[in-house]
Amino acid sequence: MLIYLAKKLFYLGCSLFAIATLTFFLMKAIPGDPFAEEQAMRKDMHEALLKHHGMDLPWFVQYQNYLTRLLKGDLGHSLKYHGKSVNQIIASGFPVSASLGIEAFMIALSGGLFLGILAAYKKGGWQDHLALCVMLLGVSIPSFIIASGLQYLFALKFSVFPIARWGTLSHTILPALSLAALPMAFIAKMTRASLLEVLNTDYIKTAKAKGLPARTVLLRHALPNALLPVVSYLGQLLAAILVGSFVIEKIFSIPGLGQWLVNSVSNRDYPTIMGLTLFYSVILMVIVFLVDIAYGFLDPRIKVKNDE
Amino acid sequence: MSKLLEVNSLSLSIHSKNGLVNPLQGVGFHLNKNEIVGLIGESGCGKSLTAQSMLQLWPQGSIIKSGEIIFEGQNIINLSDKEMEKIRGNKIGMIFQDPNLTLNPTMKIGSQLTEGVRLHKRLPKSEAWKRAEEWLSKVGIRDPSQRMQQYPHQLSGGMKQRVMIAMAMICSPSILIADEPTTALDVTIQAQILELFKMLRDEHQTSILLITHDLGVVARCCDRVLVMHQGKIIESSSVEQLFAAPQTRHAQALLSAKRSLMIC
Amino acid sequence: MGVVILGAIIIFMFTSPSLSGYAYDAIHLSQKNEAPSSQFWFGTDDLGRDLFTRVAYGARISLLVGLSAAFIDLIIGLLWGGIAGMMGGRIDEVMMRVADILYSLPYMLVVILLSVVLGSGIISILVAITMFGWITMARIVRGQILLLKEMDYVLAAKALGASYGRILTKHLLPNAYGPILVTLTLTIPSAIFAEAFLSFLGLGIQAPMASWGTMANEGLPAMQFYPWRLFIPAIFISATLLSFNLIGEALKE
Repeated sequence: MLIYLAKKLFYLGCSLFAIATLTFFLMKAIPGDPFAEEQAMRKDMHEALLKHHGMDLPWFVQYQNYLTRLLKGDLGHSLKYHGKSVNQIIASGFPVSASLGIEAFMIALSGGLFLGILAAYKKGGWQDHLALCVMLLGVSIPSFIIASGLQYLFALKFSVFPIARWGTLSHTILPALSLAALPMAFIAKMTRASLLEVLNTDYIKTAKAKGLPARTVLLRHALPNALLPVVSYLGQLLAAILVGSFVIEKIFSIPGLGQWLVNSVSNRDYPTIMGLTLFYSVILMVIVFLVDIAYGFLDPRIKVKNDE
Repeated sequence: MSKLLEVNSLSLSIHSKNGLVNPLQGVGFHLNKNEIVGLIGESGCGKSLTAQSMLQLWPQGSIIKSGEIIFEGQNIINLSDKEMEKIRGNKIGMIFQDPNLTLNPTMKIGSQLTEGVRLHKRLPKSEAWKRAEEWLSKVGIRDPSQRMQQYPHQLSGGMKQRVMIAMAMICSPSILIADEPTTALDVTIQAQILELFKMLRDEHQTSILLITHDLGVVARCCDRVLVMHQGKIIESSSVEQLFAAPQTRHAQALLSAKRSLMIC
Repeated sequence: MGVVILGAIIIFMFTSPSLSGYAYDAIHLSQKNEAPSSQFWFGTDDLGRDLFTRVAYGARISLLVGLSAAFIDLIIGLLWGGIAGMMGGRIDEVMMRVADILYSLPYMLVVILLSVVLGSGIISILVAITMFGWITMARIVRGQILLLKEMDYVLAAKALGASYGRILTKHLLPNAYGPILVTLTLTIPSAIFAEAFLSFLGLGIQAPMASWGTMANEGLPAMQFYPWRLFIPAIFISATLLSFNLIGEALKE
């Protein structure tokens, strides 16, 4: 178990390092510098600006400074919104995005599990076929299309929900639903496949042969084993929600971090792009790491090593 | 000689990809008290299906065309699921072939062992646990209390099969059905398990229906033997009789094939 | 059934420009934002361009990007996974560790980042999508090779003195094509999705060229009054992805 933990931690470290480095070099690879696009600037002002941002130093020194800054938690300042630091942007946008994300996650998890278990239990029946259709659609139709569709139908045409912006609970429903569609379909698919596999195993046969009622067999024997693989996928699903949020926030004009990122992309506000991307990546990788740790505690084959 | 279990004209059909097949065609045999009966036949003759039928554990899509299974005075072939649950694990126990696959990998041994007896005999946890430990010793596992806390992947194949036997016997059923219990095990472990069966017959008055394709197993521990071929029992005799003078051509073929392989 | 849908889309893609008689960037300013009519079968956009033709062209671009990206991923994946699987030992370990670390980077985020850096246009999108998209394929290939490496006919080939390269190309890969094909069929929709996603965010194909994603992006602000501008390309995107997924599912069986 300890080895498992240590390995995962090591990987986390490597990945964090990789993403930081990648971001840095990508930004450096952009031809010209951020100030070249501003209107004709006096040469000495240009140089002064470069010096101020430390961009006149040789690249490996810049790289070192970059890493040190990161370790201190400084993600730089926005170029577009003068004076605003990326950390401030994060502080204002993150809570919004996070609550949207969590809501979507809850919907995806509960809906997906329910759908998957139902489909597996009633394999071949109409419930199964219906569930499979839903899963297929959820996986194929991109989230931004679902979002637009929902927005069009329920907000514009039928005025059931507010069209955009953020604030009350009803503001959150359409965005969360659109965000949850893909993850929910995925969870349902995985759960169904996993449960079907488990229901065919010999140990389920044994459980039945012991005279256990069907419900006990499902809940105590089948589900715990079937849900293990689903747990290990949770990290990836979170990534899907995270990335999906960019587009959803754009469609619904939600003042979250995703909108900030999208806008900074259009504005070519490089420090912000870098900082936000880095922030997102770190959050994601840490969550995946935590999920892996949780999995280690859940699967006895990892929790207790074979000591024969 | 009181018959514990009686099977008459059992016929079963299954919907398969190739249409309707009839794997069991009028199977008939009986089981007496305190005996080990071997059910032998080549693969595909229907022996596992026969075993599964005893507890209504048929594969999906199976249809009982005819026949009856008399146990404790009633025909259990048409009992509902709820009523079968009272028999399974309680009055009739069953173990399967590959012990590496038949134990729940995410559940402690102790929990799996005590589950059945707590349900059927309504024992509180502490008593069930004690009983489970006793049975683990009876089947030859040392340090039972330690093993109870472990998970299946921490045990060897032979140990796991012993756990399975303990699990099937913990409610003291009168019949134990063993579907190829030694096929997946080493020869030495095989011998130990077969000795275990004999102990169960002698000390616990359990009758055992032993399904196998191995004549050696039959010779080693069975009292009577049933030869099965293409969905029917074609010969039924004591072990000595079978080895001395097999009646059917099929049995003769089986024996000669075995003899040519045996060194003795 | 997926083949049917896909087939229909492909036929549409090739025949429509000649049917409609309009060029995809021909501007008809006097007929802006018209609803679908007998003159403009899918309506027009805000510059009066015929949507029918544009959707057809969009089909070409989106499918082109999707298929090429998937193929590039296939090649890289075959190479990486093939070498790792064949060589085994330390080389395999190192290669797969690197792949693992790259895999843990959030794919779409990196793709977005790359697009920002590389600018817009087909080539940059292709690079962005394929830079990290090959990893799944590499894993599948490696898995298959590890499985098949132990087969008797491989040992026989080795005993006859075949070189590693020969074994790989003539024995292992042809027998591994099953899972590889399935993965390919599922890589294509993810590439198409990535392209649509990027274009929707304004990062991908730029006007006047049209990919479905770009068109959806242009259609979004006009959704309230001219919904067809958004939903027609949207339906096409969904249908294409659906058909590929259906094919992939069917192949899995």
